[in-house]
Amino acid sequence: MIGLGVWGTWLWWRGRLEKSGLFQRLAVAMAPAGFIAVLAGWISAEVGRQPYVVYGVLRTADAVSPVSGGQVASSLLVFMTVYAIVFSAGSLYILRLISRGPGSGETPLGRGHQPMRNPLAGIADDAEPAGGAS
Amino acid sequence: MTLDLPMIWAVIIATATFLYVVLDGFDLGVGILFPFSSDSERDVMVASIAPVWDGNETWLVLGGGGLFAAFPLAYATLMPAMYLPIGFMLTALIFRGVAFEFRAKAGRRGKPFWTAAFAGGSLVAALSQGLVLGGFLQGITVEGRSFAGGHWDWLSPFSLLVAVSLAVGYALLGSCWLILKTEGELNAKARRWTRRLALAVGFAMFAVSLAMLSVDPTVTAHWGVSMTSIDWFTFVSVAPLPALAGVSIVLCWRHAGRRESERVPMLAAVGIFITGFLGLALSTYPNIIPYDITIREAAAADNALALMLAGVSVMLPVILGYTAYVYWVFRGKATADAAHH
Repeated sequence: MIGLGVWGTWLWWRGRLEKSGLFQRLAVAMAPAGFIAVLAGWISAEVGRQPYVVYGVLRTADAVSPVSGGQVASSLLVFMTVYAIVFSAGSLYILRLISRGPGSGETPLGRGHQPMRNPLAGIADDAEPAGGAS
Repeated sequence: MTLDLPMIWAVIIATATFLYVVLDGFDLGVGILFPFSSDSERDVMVASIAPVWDGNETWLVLGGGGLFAAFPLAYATLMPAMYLPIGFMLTALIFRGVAFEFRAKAGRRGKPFWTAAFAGGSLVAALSQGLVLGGFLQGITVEGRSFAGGHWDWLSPFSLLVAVSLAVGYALLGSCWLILKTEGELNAKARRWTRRLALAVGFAMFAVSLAMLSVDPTVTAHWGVSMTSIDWFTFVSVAPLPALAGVSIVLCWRHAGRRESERVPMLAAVGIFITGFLGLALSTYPNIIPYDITIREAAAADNALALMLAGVSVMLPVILGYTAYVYWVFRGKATADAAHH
């Protein structure tokens, strides 16, 4: 991810950001990397500090609330279901937005891009229904 | 001079909780009123709260986070006791939170689902908060330093009464907000809702107040009123609270019917909530977990409270400042096409 960022900065500096097909394909492939990095870091931290909840001070076994396993399991199940629904819907809408492409009023951020003359120019297009875009 | 840090923190957390109840109360209330409105009206209703709702919910974070840091014993007792209703509330708030965006992004097939998620999420969040409040007011079973009751203790006829009352109260705040923020047909509709809801809130407060008297001797001692007798001296000294609640309800009801009154219904509704909140605070004082743990017993060490107080005295004015600024920027009437921001 960092490497891609450095490469992107270099391309931008050379004014070739929009021309490098290989870079753009890699950027698309890298999209889930942020999620993976956050989850992996979180899991490493949580697993790594066991058997403590506060490292060296409070053991996880001593910190447990008087809440039954059944309650915890059912809440976990509910949150998994909720996130599955919300995340799928969110991904669907993000993909729809991407496939629709930028509005006519938006200019890609290249080197020496022109500032928008009329910031409202894109609004009429945005108001079109998204139907059939995906 | 030494500061009474536990009391200062109790006031800070009570204030944050109250601000949450009133601020998120009106935007949850707008969601509760969804089933009674048309689809184009709903777009205006969402647009009226879209710039402010997430700011409103930060007060829940300050209240909850503050309770965890300043009164760890109260937090550790309350959360296991209210595990299920707080879980319901969070689930509802997630659905409602994403529905703000997804409702606008969804196509023709998806929109009704997210409209339902918004309305249902608002109602379930309000009811869950009412169940937590009711379960809290009826008293939490504590043994030693931890929760020792059953997992369904929060569910009772009393907590159901409080839950419905709170949802009705939120709906009143929501309809008063719509009087303030909308025009034309929807404004007239909001006024009709407000008149009915003001009366409903009056009945609800009366019922909850009566029921509170049979909950615990602590409550009857504060009010001087029990189911069978009245201590007039005590009662007269606290009677201004219910009297002010009554005045606020009448004011809200009357001004909702006057077309030139835009702000009075909202101010009166806030007045209703202030009196209700103070009444419940008085009923449970000096407990932070009714009716076993006092504010002092649950407080963290004084040096921790002092350190956090230094932080809060910087952050609270900042939060209040940007909150006021947002409301100022988005003052005036809302329109449907301003929904995207």
